Amino acid sequence: MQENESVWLERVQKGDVEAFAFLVEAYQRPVFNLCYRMLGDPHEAEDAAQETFFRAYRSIKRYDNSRPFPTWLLSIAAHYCIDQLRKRRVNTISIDEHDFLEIPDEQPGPATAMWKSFEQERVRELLAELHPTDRAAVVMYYWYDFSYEEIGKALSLTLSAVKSRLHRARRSMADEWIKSQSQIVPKEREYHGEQSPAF
Amino acid sequence: MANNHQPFESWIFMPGDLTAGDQQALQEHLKECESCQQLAQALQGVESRLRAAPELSPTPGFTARWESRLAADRIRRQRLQTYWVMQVCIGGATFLLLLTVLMVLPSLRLPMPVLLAWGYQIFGVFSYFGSLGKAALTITGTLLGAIPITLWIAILVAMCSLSALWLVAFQRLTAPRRVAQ
Repeated sequence: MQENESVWLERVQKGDVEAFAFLVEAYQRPVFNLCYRMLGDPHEAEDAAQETFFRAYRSIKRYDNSRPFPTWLLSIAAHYCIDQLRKRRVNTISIDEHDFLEIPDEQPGPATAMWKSFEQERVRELLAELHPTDRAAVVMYYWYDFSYEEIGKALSLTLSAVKSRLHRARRSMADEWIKSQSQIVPKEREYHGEQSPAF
Repeated sequence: MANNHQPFESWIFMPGDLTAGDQQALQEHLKECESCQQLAQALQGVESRLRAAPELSPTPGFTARWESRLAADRIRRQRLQTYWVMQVCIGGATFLLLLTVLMVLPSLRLPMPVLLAWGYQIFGVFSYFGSLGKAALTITGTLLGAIPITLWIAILVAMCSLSALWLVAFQRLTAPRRVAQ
């Protein structure tokens, strides 16, 4: 993958559109996932992911080959999503709108699918409370295992600023978790029904 | 103990950044403090949910949609470029037309001398091109005698090759390319 990537990047930098299409194919999932976690809406995430690849293609000649390509790409996506979030408040969307999302799964039954959808909604709600830049840092830390340094580079922040933002985000999410716990338990009971003795 | 949560409350949200001593002190505090324990459990719940959340994929055909978008953007840029070129041309033509009208307007009062002057100008242009044609014929006649036939053949072959190269390049640049999904 790494070898192919450098070959494709070399070809793209020489103006080969087809090679960039291969990169789109390879990185569509992480970019889309980051955009979705940032924006909370699949339609907006699709637009943002498309725009990310579009911007990356336009500025590929300025890309520094010593930097990992996925980090650079996700940095573009995060900055774009942060701008979008600053422009407007994210509209609240219902769980039904998530139906067409492709969640890798081993053929879940209706109850499992419902539970996963419910879990998705909980994660979305936790992230929705955060400041856009904090949210980007959280997504990069928990989904992509970025180090503090990598997050700092991607979001143009100092190391101490990254730590401070992650600290604030964790605190905020923990408070939100405690607050919602009383509402969540009855829902869990409803989804699990009599399947689990714990409920 | 209720008001003595710091620095422990802050340490809860700094996993991985604490020294072994701080970590131990935090664990000791968590055993005694219910409020901080609740926060630690909440963070644990949040982190496990975040780490368990799957990486989502876009709907199929994402790359094809991106390629269509790129093509549409190219067309849009070309149209915009054409629009601005047209605007500049129309602006220039309007300016020249106004200039001509301003120049011609006073002479419309006496049309005969103007028409004669135009006729003379047109005749002059025809004479000029006639002279150019004669000069070209003379030069060609001289060259035909001076350059050997083998050199003519070489020039002809080179021109044919360049034309073929241009055709191939044009076809490669304009042919649509798709990535297999």
